[in-house]
Amino acid sequence: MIGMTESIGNEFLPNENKVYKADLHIHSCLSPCADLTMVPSTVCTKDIDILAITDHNTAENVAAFVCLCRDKVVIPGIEIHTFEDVHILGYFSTLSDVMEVSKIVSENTNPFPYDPETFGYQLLLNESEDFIGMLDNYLGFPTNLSIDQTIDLIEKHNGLAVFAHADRKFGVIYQLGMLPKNAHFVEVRKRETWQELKSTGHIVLTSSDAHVPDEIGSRKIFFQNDAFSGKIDAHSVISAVALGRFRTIWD
Amino acid sequence: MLKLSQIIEEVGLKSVYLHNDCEIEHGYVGDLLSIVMRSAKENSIWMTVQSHVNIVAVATLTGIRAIVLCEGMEFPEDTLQKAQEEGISLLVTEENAYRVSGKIYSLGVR
Repeated sequence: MIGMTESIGNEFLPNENKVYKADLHIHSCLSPCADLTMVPSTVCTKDIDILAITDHNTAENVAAFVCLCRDKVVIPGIEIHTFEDVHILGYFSTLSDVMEVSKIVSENTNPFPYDPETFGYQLLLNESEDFIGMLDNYLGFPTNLSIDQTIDLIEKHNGLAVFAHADRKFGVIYQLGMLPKNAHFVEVRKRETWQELKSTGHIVLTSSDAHVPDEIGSRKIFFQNDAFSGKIDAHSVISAVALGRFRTIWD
Repeated sequence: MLKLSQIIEEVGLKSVYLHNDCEIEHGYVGDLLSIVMRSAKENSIWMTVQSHVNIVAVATLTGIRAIVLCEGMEFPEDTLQKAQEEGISLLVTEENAYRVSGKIYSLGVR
């Protein structure tokens, strides 16, 4: 286990003229459905400035990306698979918060041993990008956490909860037919959904949900420098998202 | 107990992938995978509206032999491929899960 620090080292100093490109939904080689090439040395060469690592039901590879992608802002994240088969993203300012959530998610999941040859390898990385092990229980199945419990868990650990790809399979609109009343932050795939949800006062973003390197940055959001007050790090990016201070590819 | 081919014919299901003409002992209806995983029995036919690739993992784990996708929906390519690898039969129907289950139940499958 890599040593964890409270603050994320990766940050940018403010730069008036810059527009920052952010992809806030990227899987690492730890997600069973993601390619083995989703490692820092590949992911961090892509043309984005800010990225979130959001593996299924775990955050155990986040630290490797934080350590190795020093010239990017890496947001510690997780994509939690609820009991209702809905995916919810959690974004955190610190490694310790996301790791605590990752641990609680694991404690609230029934263990499912599985065949990685058939359903995909779940590979753990260390800070030198060595493969140091595998997670034996399938990360692709639902946890025992409901949507409400998941949002509560994320928020109790100072995180921002976003409904992932709401208008697609494993998305809340697809699974439940509608957005829950208390939903505020939503990630979408389609322009039509973006337009509709913006008009009803939601904060709507779009990200790649990249499982292979070529998908990184295929959908993204943009921050102007004035979205941030001070340095640009995980904390200030999350605050900017929460305030809707960004543009999507459709704005 | 009935052969899968008998059920397909009597109920009017369409085969997308037929792995083998196995014996079906039980039927199951459900769309929340967590519940299917703890309740479905071996040698079952499963009626659902879920089509994503994880349904094949659930079938493999529980011993479900055939999945019926209801309401005129279609299996995506990755589900079909996984089913072929794992040996799970995939069937489709225009009808809803209630009607299909009723028909299978009336054939004597419990």
